[in-house]
Amino acid sequence: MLSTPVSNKPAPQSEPLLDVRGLSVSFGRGTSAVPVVMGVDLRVGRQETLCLVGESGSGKSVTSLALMALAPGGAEITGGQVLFEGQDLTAMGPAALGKVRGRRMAMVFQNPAHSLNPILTVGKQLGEIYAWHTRANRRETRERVADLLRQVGITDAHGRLDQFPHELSGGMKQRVCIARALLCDPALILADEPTTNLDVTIQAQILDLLDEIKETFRTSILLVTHDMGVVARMADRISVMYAGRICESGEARAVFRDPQHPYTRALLDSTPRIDMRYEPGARDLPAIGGRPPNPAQRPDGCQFHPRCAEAGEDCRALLPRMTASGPGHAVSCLRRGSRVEENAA
Amino acid sequence: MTGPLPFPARDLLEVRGLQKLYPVSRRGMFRRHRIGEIRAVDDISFSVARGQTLGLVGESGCGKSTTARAILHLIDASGGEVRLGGQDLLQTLRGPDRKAELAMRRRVQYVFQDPYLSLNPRWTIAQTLSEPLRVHDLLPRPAWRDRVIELLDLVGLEPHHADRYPHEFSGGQRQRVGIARALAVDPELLILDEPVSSLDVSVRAQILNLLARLQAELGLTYLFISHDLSSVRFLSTRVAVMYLGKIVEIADVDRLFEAPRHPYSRALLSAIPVPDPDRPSARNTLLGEIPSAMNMPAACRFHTRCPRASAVCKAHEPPMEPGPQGSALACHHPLEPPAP
Amino acid sequence: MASIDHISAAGTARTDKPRGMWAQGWARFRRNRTGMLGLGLVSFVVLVAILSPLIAPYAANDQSAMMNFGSRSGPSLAHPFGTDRMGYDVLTRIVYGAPTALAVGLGTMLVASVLGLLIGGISGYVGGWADEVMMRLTEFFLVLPVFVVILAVVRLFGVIVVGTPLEDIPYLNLTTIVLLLGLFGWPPIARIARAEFMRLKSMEFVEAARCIGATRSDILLRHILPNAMPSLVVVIALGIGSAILSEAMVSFLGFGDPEAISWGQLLYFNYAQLKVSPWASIAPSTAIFITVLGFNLLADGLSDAFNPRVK
Repeated sequence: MLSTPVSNKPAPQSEPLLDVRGLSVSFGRGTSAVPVVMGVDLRVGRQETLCLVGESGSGKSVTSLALMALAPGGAEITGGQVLFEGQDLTAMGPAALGKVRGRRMAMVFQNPAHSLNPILTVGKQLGEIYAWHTRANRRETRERVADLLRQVGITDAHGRLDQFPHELSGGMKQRVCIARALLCDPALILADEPTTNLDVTIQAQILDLLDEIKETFRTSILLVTHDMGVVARMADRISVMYAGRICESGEARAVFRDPQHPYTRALLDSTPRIDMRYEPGARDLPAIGGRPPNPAQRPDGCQFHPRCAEAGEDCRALLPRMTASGPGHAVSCLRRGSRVEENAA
Repeated sequence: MTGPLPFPARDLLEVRGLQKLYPVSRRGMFRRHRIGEIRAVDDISFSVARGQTLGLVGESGCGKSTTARAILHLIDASGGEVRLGGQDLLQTLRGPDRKAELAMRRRVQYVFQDPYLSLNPRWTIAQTLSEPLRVHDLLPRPAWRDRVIELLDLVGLEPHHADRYPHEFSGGQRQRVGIARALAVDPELLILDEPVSSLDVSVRAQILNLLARLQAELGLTYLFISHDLSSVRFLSTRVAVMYLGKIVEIADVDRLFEAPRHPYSRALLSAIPVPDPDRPSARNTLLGEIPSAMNMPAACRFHTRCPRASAVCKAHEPPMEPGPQGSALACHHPLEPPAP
Repeated sequence: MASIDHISAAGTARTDKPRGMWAQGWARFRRNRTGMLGLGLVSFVVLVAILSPLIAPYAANDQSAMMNFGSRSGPSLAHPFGTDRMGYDVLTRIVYGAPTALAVGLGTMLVASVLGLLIGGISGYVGGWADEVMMRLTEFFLVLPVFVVILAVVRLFGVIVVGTPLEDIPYLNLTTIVLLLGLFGWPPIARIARAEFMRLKSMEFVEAARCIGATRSDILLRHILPNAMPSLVVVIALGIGSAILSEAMVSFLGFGDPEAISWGQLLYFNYAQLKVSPWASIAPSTAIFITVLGFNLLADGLSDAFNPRVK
């Protein structure tokens, strides 16, 4: 279940479902513009799960919202392309975008309580979306919604249609949100920290559900998370984001077995593990000091150098670019032989 | 209804039969009608030995934070007894004797979950850290400044931070200040209520290391409340697992994580994704969701979700039975103990 | 461990000095145009009130215009805002009305704030039965027809005091109005105070103070009240404006204090001659408008300045 049989995957050279090239997003305009996402490349293949990993403020959530053209207030896409099924979303008008968004590409948010309208019943708010996209009549809509609720593991689906969001538990609400995302047979589900607000036993259920959906609905998943455990559980491929840039990306196993970027290593090493013994008196996690830079005052050179034990003089001045470090594995770190970004003045 | 105590009677913190009930009432026109009660913490007992850490784990709504608050009398316990070094802690904190209360408060301190809410936004760090010195009249006023700087140093902050305001700090730095405030009165016991839950991974590791170092250096005793089992594994010597207001299992940390005996403990552990893609994630995830505290299952509270539940689980509540090495377990059908 | 803070200090590269909540609020307030306009208007009125004996062209009760210019004479060099029906210089009366208006506004809000803070604070902090009782009380005061009660009490009181030593108290009528307005003006303050005290008492920093062993008065006065102040200041500023307006209305209906010079009274004396001498009505109306607008804009600016969500 965890890994899709290789034969099911499309050949690697075929066009990816989502191909993000050099995406940049800034808050504000003109001289006071603060870049929060800089030159991000992402690729999501068909029926593949890509995990976008990073801490708060790394720009991972802004990136996922920008893909949906839902950039939060004041944010603006300042460069790059978002190729989805071969079309460039950044060049589309609002009408064309509306057809892609919510239909071919759907979003599941972190806080299910906030992403459901509290004054509409479950049946209504899901039905409205379905009817709007497909022009289905009321009975078809109701059947379709009930059917989907069943498929996301909600018992007594017909009864739930007339319940309001507050009558559902947190896990149940997230299932409804997932059902909402599935309404129009999306090719890609963007899930932004979908289990962060849930208890671990419920988190396990929702992760199982996402895996099932990938199979039954033949969708791809872009999962934004900070939890390396969730990444290991879900990812086919991983992109690690730090301070607005991707610092490492590759096949999940390759990244976990042989993390290249010092930040990726730190993320893995600094999380205590439940399958490890810690002797009293010798408890010490290999923590990295400091915290990510303030987006308004970024250091020169590699964004990670102030916290990096391996940083040298060159790291303070030069910006590394993503460079292949092995099959299906790329990293941007001068200590790992990455090339220097030329147009970074 | 307190059974035999599953711990030696000489531990620093002893909690016996602690209970917190919330009345559920419907509001009428003039008065509230009591229609039932929520048993948020229901007759739990545990102890923490000096210099050790007891991790109290469970999912949201299991009563772990209520337990912590009841111990420090932030909320009034409905029943039970809490002893600190043999002295009755709850009575002292309730009681009219302010001197005794202050003396007791100096021995136990609390570290809060949210570093953004736990510092007075209008006070500088120095003011916040001086507050305990003023309340307990510990030092003459001119000596406060030096003590503040000493405390900042203890938690890895710099003297120049003293005159800053909380909003100028990151979450991790604020949590350091929260810890420094708790340490200002030289306590023996720290109650850590989800102290790292709202922090980012890399900062979380710094705070966990700080807590481990402080414990080793100052000989502190911790009651560590968390839903994050990996942090609990790192910091605890013993672990108590709570489900719906009850402790279901207590054991040494390695025993509990490696060979849990209560089906809930095992389910909880197997639900945690391990950062290793080659480790197959266990597929015995629990069905269903935590029942609401309003309609609590009778007898064993876990029987509605338990894969091992039988008729007896629906009829009789399993008692807390003491086991080897100070462990304890409340289950009719426990998993096999590990081979000796 | 020590390196952490070098990094974070470098990472944020702070240049500004540490600032408290008030200083921060002021910095935000200064950038708020409406708030600054309100502050300007209020400062203007306050300045006029303080300097009234110096800037008023005539004495307060000088009716000498009757002799040469006559009553109801239009604006002229000698009487820039004209004279009114009684032969007073309108500008002089407006200038002397300013201290009255401010006294009414501040006095009313002093009474209302003390009551509102006590009732709302207890209600919010203690909760339970005390809360129920006090909130019912608040609702009772909110549904009372304030004006009818004030007019009735002022008239009754005016009759009762005749022949008693109370009669000699200066500005007795005005004091009564201020006390009554305060007595009926506290519910909004009580509501805000209750909400703030309720919110703040369960904040973790207040619980932290309890853990340390701080006394109840410590918690109320050092932790909760200062943090509740920003919201309270906003309602109080708003209340000052509405108290001034209320006093003007009471005076306009002829229930004002004959000893005091108030804008409402000026209107009361002159509105009948609106067609003949509009200046005598327009000037006090404008004064009321400017003052009330000033306080409302100020309140608006303050609420923006203290709202942490606005950067």
